[in-house]
Amino acid sequence: MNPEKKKLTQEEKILIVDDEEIMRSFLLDVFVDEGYDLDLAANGEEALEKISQNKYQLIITDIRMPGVDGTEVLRKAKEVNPKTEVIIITGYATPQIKQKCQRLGAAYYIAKPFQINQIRALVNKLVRGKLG
Amino acid sequence: MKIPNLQLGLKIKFVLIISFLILFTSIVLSGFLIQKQSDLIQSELEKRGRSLVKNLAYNSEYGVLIENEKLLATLIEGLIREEDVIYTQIFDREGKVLAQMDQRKFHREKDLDSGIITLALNGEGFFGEYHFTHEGRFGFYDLAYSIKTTKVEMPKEELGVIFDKDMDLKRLEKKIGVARIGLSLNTMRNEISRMKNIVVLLTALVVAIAILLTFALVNLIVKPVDKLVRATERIAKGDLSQMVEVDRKDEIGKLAQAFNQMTTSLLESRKQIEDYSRNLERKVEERTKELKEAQSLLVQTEKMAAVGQLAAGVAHELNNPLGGILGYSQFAIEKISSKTPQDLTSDDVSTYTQYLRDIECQSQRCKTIVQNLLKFARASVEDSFEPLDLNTVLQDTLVFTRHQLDMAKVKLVLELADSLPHIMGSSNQLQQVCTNIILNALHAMPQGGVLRIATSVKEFDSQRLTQIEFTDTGYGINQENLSKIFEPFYTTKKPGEGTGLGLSVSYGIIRDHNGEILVESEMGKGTTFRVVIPVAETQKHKKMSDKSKELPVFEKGR
Repeated sequence: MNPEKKKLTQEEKILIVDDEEIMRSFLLDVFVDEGYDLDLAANGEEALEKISQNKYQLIITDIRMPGVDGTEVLRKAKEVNPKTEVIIITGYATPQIKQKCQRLGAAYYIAKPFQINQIRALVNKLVRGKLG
Repeated sequence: MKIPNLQLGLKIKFVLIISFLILFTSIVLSGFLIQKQSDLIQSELEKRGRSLVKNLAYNSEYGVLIENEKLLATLIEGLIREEDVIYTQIFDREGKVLAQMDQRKFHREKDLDSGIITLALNGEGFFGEYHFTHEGRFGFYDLAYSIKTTKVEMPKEELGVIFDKDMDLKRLEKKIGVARIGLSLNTMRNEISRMKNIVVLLTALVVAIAILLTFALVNLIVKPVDKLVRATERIAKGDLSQMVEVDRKDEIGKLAQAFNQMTTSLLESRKQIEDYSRNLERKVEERTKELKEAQSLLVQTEKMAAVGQLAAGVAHELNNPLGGILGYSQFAIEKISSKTPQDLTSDDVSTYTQYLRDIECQSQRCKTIVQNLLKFARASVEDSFEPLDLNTVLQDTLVFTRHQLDMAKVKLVLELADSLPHIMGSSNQLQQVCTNIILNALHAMPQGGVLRIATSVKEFDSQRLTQIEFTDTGYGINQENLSKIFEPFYTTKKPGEGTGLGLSVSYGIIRDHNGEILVESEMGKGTTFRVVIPVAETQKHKKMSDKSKELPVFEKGR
């Protein structure tokens, strides 16, 4: 493990929002391995709660979720802290939602299934300002 | 069938009427003939008697004048030899018998009446009288004629005229006696009875022949008519194969010919009709098949449209496990390739094993999703009905539609009955119906809302029914459109957004399940769809589909 990755800062806290258990566990495994501090939310409501309580540098959120969906999470995150970067990961992307997310200030919009290097590179770039 | 009786009746009627006419005519004619002949025979007898008695009178003139009884006896003798002369008498002018001969056998005891002699002596001409004895069995004809002598006075004798045609000789006649004969009536009677016999015999013969001829004639007419009648009967029974065989050139022959023509054309037209109906049957069969194909195509098309609408859900459903699989496999490859086998700790092995388990599990999930999708998309033609419960159908449906609901911010409230009795049906088809109704509810709530789905068991008219009730909080359907929503191609959506077939296909599917789709709606409040299907054990196909027409809408909002 890269010792550099272990230098955790408050700024490097990441929130992962997905109703899919497998996605949460995968992203957790990958980014814990990268040395990030992670919070998990299984739905939109939980995410909103965590956003209002914690300061996240990056939020990775699914779009389609029962109840509060990804766009709401995005909106709320940007509202609470416009500096917070948001990556949207979705199983089914429509141009409308894509545009909406762009408008709301999402950094990236990634369709599932995605390459591990891709998400890792984007997260590293957004959080640590460098390309993995 | 009265036709044979009619034929018999016709024949007998003909024969009876004609026979009666012949008999009547013959009897009248022969009676008349007999009367005429009898009269003729009688007058012949009288004529003969007159001629005989007149001759006797003339021939007796001389004998009477000279009163020579012997001469007179000779005359009488000659006469009595005549077969039918039974007695002869010659009287003088005083009425005294000069000569007589009597051969009477049966009425000797009766003295001959002298009245007729007096009449003959005082009058002119013949005096005849019939006499009957033995109760009329025997009879004779008594005939008298005066014997006259003519004294020729010759007033002009001196003038030398011997004979003057103007001379009235009769005036000089003088009655000198009476000749009398009796003629037996037996001969006449015999003759008459012989004649009668002949007439009666001839009449009988004529009548018999006439009746036989009538029979033949009637047969001649009736037989072919009978044939025609029988042929008509056969035709009435539908047998057009036989022709009427009447080999005649008269009206009946023509009738038979016309009849045969009629039969032939009937046969032809029947053949045509049969051909036509066979053709029609085949065409109907073809069309039915085409229609069925079109219908199943329609169901399939509509299903594919639903699949298209579900694509988002499906993609989401598939991409999540795929994301896990792809991610974990790449992650595992990275981890493992960065290590040599010697570096591997037991912790590493258990971690990687967990990754592989996750991959396996998610692959399994993908497989199930794909299978479900294929099952749903599969053409339903080969679907067979099997016992199933609507809760399972509903849950299978929600696998793909739930995401749609989530995305549309529609809150799903499920109120499933604890256990539902099985119905007979096609899970695939029923999923299609549920999907369609759910998607419709979604479209009715573009700003989100609540979709309540409840299953229950109902009792109606001693039938157990299972019901799924879908209640949305959408904008509702107005009364005008409510009556049209099950019509094919009826849609309120923009062209390209809906096929307009969803509910009509659903309606067809539920009817196939002997069930009903009922709808009620209130503008601005929402719509309730109820799918009602009879429970398997009480399912009486016919009864249900009859009753279902008058099924009332179940009471709103239990």
